Amino acid sequence: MPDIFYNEMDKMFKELGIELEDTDDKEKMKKADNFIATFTPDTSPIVIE
Amino acid sequence: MRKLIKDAILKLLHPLSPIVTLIVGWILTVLVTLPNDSFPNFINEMIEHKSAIMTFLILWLIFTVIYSTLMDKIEKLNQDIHQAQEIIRQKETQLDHTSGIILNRSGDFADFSRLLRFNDALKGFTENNTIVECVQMYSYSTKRVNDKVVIKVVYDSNYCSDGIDINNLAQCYYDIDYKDYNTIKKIVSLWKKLSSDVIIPLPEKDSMIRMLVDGINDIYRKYNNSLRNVKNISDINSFHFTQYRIMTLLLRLARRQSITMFDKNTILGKDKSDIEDYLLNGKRTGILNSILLEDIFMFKYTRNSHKKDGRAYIAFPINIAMQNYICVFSIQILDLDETIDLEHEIKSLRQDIVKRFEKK
Repeated sequence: MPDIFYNEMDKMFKELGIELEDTDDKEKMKKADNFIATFTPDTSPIVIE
Repeated sequence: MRKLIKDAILKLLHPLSPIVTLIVGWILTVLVTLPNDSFPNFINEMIEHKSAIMTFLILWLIFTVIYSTLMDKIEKLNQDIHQAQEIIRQKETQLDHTSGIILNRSGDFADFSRLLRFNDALKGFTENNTIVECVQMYSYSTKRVNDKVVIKVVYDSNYCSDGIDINNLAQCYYDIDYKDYNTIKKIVSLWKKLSSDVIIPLPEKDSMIRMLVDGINDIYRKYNNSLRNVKNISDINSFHFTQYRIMTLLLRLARRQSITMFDKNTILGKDKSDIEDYLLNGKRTGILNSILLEDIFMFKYTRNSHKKDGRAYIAFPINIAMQNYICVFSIQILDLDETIDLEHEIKSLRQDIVKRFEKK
């Protein structure tokens, strides 16, 4: 994803006064009460006939 | 018409029909009549050959007896056929009814067989992966109802390791405004295309980024306003729950790293922490984001009243035999090694369960 997209989104969050903390650190993840995560999207859906 | 003519001919030719009886009566009069020149020749011939007429009359009598006997038998056979047809009709009705019951039962058996196969796959998956605590399957459907989209999620099956305390979601509905739903699907589609390795021409890419930014801005700000206008917890409705969950999906798409942490003060601000706390914990909406994203969505929500420590959930959609399912499995993240590649680990677990379903 191009950086320009994230910059635009950062602007929106700043404007709305939202401070988010992202991480890839598993220790932080373990300590967090709440977190959400997504990964590289699939190219096709999983279908079993 | 043809049947009418046939019936008329059969009646006329009946040996005891009025016409035949009349003819026989006339022939009998011929027997007792003397020849006369005033009669036509054939009548005089008949009078002179009385033995032939007698033979004819005897044959007629024999034919009448045989015909009457056979007709009685035919009539009885017709009645038997009619009764047999009536029995066949009754049996057919019974058969239809019975086959309906059998079909119904075979549907039940098919459902039972599917559940057994699911349970086998879920059990094998849970028992062969140390960090997996529990796995659940939910079927889901998406329907447009007037100006909203209703996503219905129904519990299907699960398997849990021994000693694990986990609650299933029996049945749940998520309401989303129809126009918003379409915008969200468009956002997800653009995000997926831009996140892929596919080479997109620069002008087209710029346009897609603009559309994605505008789409997220529109929905996020709309929902932010909607939720910030909620004054009391008692004012929260089903739309508010889905709006909040969709906001978490959108902010996740808008972040550089894989994991975003937050608490009850993060999205709506400290002045709305009670509202946000309720939106976060009041309704199970975690799997909604996986349905909308049509991909893996991982989440950990620690309810204040029910701490589950290191348990995180991974939801992903899977279509089995033309039915949409969401598979949700929980893992113990305290067991995760620091060096482990989380994305690789999660996708390997997903591949494991998919293979188990494919083998069944």
